[in-house]
Amino acid sequence: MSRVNYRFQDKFDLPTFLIATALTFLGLLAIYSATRSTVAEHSNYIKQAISWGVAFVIFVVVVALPIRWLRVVAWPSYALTLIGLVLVLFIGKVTGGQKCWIHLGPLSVQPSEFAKFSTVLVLATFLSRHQTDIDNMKDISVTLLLGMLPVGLIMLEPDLGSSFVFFGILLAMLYWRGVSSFGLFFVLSPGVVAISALFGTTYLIIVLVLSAVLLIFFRKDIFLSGSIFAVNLSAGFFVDNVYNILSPHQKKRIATFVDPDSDPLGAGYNSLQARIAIGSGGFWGKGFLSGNQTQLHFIPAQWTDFIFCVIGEEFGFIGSSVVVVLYIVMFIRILKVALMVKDEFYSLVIIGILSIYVGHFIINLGMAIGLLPVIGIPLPFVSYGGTSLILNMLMLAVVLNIYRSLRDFS
Amino acid sequence: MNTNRQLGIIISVAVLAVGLLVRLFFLQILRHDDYLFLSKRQNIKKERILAERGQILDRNMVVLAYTVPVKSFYVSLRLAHRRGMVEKIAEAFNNETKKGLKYYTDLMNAEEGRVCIERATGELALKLKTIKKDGLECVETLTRTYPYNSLASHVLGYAEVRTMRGVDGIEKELDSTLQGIDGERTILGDRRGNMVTVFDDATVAPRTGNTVLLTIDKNIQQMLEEELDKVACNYAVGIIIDPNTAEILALANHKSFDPNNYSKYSDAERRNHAISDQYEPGSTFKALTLASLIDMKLCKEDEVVNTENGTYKYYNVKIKDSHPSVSLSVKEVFSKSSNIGMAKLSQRVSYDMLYKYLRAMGIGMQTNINLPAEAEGTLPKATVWNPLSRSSISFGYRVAVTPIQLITAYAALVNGGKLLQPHLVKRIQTNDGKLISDLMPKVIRQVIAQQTSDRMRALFAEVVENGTGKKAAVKGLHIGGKTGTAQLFQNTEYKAGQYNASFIGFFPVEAPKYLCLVLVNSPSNGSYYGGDVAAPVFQAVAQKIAKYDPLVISKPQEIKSTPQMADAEIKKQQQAEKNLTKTETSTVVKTDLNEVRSLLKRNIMPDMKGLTLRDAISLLSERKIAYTVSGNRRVTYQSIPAGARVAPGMKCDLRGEDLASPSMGSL
Repeated sequence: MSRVNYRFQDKFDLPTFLIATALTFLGLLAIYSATRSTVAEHSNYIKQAISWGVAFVIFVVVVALPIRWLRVVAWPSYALTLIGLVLVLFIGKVTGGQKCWIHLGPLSVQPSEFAKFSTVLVLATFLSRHQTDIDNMKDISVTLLLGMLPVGLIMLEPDLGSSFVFFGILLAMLYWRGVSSFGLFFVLSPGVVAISALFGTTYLIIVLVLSAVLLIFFRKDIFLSGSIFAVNLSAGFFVDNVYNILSPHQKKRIATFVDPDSDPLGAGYNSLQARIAIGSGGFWGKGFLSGNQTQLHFIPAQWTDFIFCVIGEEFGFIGSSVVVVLYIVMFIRILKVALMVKDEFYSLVIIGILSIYVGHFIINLGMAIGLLPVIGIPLPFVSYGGTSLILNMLMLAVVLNIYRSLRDFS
Repeated sequence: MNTNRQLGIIISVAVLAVGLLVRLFFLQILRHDDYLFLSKRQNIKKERILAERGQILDRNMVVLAYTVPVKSFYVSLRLAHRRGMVEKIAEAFNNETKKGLKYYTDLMNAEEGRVCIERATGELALKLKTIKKDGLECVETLTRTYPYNSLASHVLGYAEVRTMRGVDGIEKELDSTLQGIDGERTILGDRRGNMVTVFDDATVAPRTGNTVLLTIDKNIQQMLEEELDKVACNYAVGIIIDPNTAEILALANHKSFDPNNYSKYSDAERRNHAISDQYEPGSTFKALTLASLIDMKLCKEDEVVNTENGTYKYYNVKIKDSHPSVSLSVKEVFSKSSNIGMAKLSQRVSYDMLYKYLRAMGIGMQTNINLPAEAEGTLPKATVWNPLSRSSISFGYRVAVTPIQLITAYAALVNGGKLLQPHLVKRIQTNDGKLISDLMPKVIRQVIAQQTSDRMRALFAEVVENGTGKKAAVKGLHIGGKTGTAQLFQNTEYKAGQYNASFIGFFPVEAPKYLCLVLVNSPSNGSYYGGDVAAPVFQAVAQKIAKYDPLVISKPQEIKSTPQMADAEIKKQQQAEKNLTKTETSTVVKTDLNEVRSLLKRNIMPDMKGLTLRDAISLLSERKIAYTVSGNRRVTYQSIPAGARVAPGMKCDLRGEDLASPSMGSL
């Protein structure tokens, strides 16, 4: 380190920050549009702006912090969120059939949101240890355990969307760490089996047979192959049990995912209305504050999970493409940072954070445009919600902090 | 980090981006039209705006039928039962209407379905609308109102409650004219179907139906109905027409019905006997025969006919007179109503000629009056006549007429010989008073000569002066007429002791202005002769008309001595009318002049009761509404009911307090 670098763009990734800010601003417009004629939510855009102010302060502080703190907080924050996830099951407030919120005085927090980030930190810590062997089944199992422990608790709330995100985090971080294709199969197959179980016994059997064939193909020892198959088998049956834990509206949503138009006035209602909103927007959109679907509240609580419909309807294909492109550019920039960082731990943290963003983005958009079942999960930076916005800004700050400290590891 | 993995991630991101954009392209561009259609279909809705049905007015612009907004309260029974709301709804409604809890719970007895438990207007409706219960719904519609209840019910007919389509009477005959054209508005509705905005430019305003002016005079109609109602009988029919124009001034059936509650009455009560029933006219028919004979110059008033002392055997059939005499002049044959005399006189005319005359007078044919369900009557063809049937027909048997047919023929006999088409509609105009059509009297044909008609009038006068119609006489009025008594022919035989008693009269004889038919079916109070049963009804009506229209009085000095009863009765009637209007206009009394004025500007008749006459007059004249005034100080009665639609040119009769002498009409 011969000289101090004073160039701003080397210290701060301004484009990424600006993209996130632009998305937040678009979100504010959409929240305003969706809530202005409601009774109780008409000032939500102000609350969101205030949240952004708080988030910005946190953002600045976190960007400026010395980079070492991340390793320090990893395990304690993981432990803390696990406690939070247990607590929420006892003292949480029930909203829409789910127990997601803990109320701390005037603040309401969702431990499951924080759990994603702390799990990323812990997984990065564990996977970047020198002694961890990514091709060792034992270490993969520990990784799985660390990743799935919060999932188990979150499934009890139950919050299906967040569980999927955890699965994405695990997958992305293992993949980034360089897990072998057999290792990937080991992680992935139970999930595939589990999802196929949702579609019915026939699919379950087909996928199970397929996994057995692949296991033979990998030519691992019989005991290991057998136990992986047993895990797959139990995952299939476990889904049945989880399915029974799910609240009725979630069961219906899964049923409509399997057959999207089975219940257009019931569980399929939101999905259909979302598609109508986006589809009727056309190329240019109906104009700000002029979307009938939005203004007449055909989609309940549109300012949270269905916020993309407002953009799709009022700003059309142009507006929604811009949003998609903004996200993709942001993802690629974050990915570039991950590539530049030579330190395994920080690189894994960035990939973990990226997988949280991407997971939310895919599930949320997939839901809005009718490719995925209706799973309540917010669109990062855009959806209304203080916890989510602050956490997304916090994670962005971590990425940019690592970017700032890049030199130290290069 | 191995390059394959980087590539893998970059490819995944690219696939993801392209995939999402393709999906958005598919939704927003390829299938845009489909989704736009779905979006519009669910939030843009078309709503019908009901058109108001046109008003029916009498010849003096008194409103006889109009349309008011009404709130109907429906209960969805399944929901109400499930939420345990039935009792609560009943209780809440009973609090306002006092109809009793049981009334409502009985209505809501069924397990499921949707029942209308109340229809209300005005203040009551507003109060009831504040009741909010699960399953209870308020629907705003229009309803037909007949402010004088049963008055002229057989002329007006009625409109079906829900569809507002005319079912009977003028309501049916002029249904399409009255109906109006429904409008439509396009509304933007939210998820729950609540209206958010109305697209004004896409709104088609409803067109109120046309206003129909009848030839009926409400006051005369009322006089006729009151007198008919006093007769004890199976049913009674009364018709008053202007013989010069064949405008029907009044048409009534005893046992009338209230078109506001038409469903509570039997078919028999709703039947318009004046149009739909044919009967053997008996002696009233002699006028038609005699007029034919005189017109053919086959007889003279003074020639004497041998009346065989009351019994005349003709082709093995005994024709009898109820008052036997040896011989009578033709004049006496008519005034004393001798069957034998008529039978003998009729022998002078060929079948064909008499048939032709009777046919020309409209016997055996519909008059095509503007009312539904008119009977044709029966007149056998001349080819099947024989001497006996000719003599029977000459005094009104073996022939059947409807009351409207007979009075139409009589009009021709007394008006100079012109057969006119009887009609009930004087004018049709738009609801804001623009003329659509004026219905002029329609002359069908000249049936007898002017001179014959003059001679007939003298003969008719003789009936009332010296003949069977003495009980029709009114001091001061020069009345002519003819009585009729005919045994009822039912199920192939004449019924013993059951008669049709009738009288047809007119006045003044010199220039007939009112022609009135009274037919009493099966009188049940002693005498059954037309001269005893029907003529007094005519007399009472004529007295009232003379009071109402003194121009018909021939000797003005004598009218003052006409019975005081008529005066008292008019007062009584006015009192009744006051009570009537008091109950029917339950809307708030508007003493605020501006409010009254704004109502008038919207062409709605305000409640003027309590206003000073001077204020009321100036307000009415601002809107160019004609008025007549009687009494003084404050308005106690208005002829156009509050809430009715008014138009410039209409006439409103205002009455004040302290009515020294009742003055009806606008003299």
